[in-house]
Amino acid sequence: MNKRNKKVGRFFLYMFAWGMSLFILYPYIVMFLNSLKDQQTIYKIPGTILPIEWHWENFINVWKDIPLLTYFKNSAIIAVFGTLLCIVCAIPAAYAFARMRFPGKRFLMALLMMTQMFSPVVMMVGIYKVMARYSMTNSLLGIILLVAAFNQAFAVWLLHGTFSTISKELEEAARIDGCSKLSAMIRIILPLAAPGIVTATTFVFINGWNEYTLSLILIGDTNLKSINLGIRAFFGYTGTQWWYVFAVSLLATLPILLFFRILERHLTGGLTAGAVKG
Amino acid sequence: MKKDKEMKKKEHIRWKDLKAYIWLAPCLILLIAFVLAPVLEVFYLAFSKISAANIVKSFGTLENFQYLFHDRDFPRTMINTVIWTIAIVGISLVLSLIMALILNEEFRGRSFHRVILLLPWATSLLITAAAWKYILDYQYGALNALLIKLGIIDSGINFLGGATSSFIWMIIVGIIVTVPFMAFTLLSGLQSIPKDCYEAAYVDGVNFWNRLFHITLPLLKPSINVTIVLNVIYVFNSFAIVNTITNGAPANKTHTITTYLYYLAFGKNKYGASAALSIISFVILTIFAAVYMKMQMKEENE
Repeated sequence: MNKRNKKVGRFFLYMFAWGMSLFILYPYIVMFLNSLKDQQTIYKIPGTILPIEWHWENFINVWKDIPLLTYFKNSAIIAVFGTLLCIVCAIPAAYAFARMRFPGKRFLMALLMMTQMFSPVVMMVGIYKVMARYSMTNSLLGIILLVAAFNQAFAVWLLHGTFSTISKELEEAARIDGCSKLSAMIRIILPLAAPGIVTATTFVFINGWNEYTLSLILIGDTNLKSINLGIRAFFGYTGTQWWYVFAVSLLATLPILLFFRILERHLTGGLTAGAVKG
Repeated sequence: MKKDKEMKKKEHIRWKDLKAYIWLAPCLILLIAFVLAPVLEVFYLAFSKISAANIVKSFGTLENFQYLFHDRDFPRTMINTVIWTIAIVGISLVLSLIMALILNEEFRGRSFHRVILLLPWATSLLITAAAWKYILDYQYGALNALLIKLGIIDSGINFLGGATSSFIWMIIVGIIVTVPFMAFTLLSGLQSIPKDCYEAAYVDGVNFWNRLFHITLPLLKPSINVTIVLNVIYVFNSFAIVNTITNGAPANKTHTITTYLYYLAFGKNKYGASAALSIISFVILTIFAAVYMKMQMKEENE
């Protein structure tokens, strides 16, 4: 009896997992099928599930119909340089928080965590005004700096957790052998902290690649639009070109999928290292 | 001579202290210029009289807050935001916990589920929201097409017709994008629980529910706490879903604070009122963080 109950319980758990996964997968199936439809089929009432004709050429034509290459280039610039700047600034800060004693440490750490709470969305007027004062509206540099700044808290927190788990003795041994603090960090700490650095880099890169709100507030020039703004531009008063929305969406997801292997391998370890330290 | 040595020591410490700030400088400069400056600007704007051309006329007025409190859509927006945050975080937490418990077991198809859970990380919220906007469309939407094909309904349902039903659907979309993140955080927490914690329980024949409530959940508590705090902040600050699917329609009844902020600033050109609403959300988030920290400290003391 008990064994049977257990079997029924397991069955329901698996059903739950499949239900959840299907629900998550559903929009991707819809995106894929509808990216291959033509205008007539998309706007058929009631809608069809499968395309009547499979228009694979949608994925080629979209590059001609909108400046998609420019959008991809801009997203890549924001993601690559935003991530680089963010991590380069976060590493020494996280190291200082993990290893050094200095006045105002607790206060600064608290302040840093506070910035995690205030996403750019809740202070968009302030950001708009300040960036206008810096003459950085309509500028990719402005978005890069903002992406780096608003991801500092997360990157420093995660790297601080990673650095704290590395034993001090290795570093001290290197110092005794005549390494400076900087070269000890570069030669000893950074290689050991690689999993944490990879995790932080991946997360910030995804945030940069998927950046939407800041560009929405600050970027007006078509040449400077990121992919998400490009997708948004499809939503018009005369009807949305859904087949293109979904083709671009799938294309935009591809680069991140390439990051997946790295993400899955390091995700669990990297996140827990930070979580334990809290 | 002795005094001199002491002085030297003191100075030495100070120089060392300064050194840490050299390491911190790049991070601090970024934060001051691009996070702190906008925060201060928000405070300045919120308490200033601002002309129609968005030029600050004078500082030191509560006009913007008065405008908000007399605004017809403000109470609805606040209530929506509370429902939005609690519903998404609460329901997602339960679903994610079950999902994490399942994924912590060895079974066929586990890696498939793990890959599916990673998918939403790769897609921007705008894209997911756009897909759901199409899925839920009254006339040509994919969900109605599916339900008609399956014979569940005869004609399309207007999912996004009313304020209540469209808000519920946006909450469902919010849950779908929140579960993967939560499930992974909780899964990593589950995997850090040592196996021998369960051994004694197995020997004594303790059943599943008792193991869950007396061993797993108490040990998982730190992960659950981190997840709740992070996700309350994320969900409170979420913007793209509502902005894309209804953008407040019908009649500004489905706004949350973030989309209403955007509407005030860039739709209605009310920079002051938008900044005032920013201040209100700062206050809400700070109170939440303070209460939560206090609760946690109390627990640790007990």
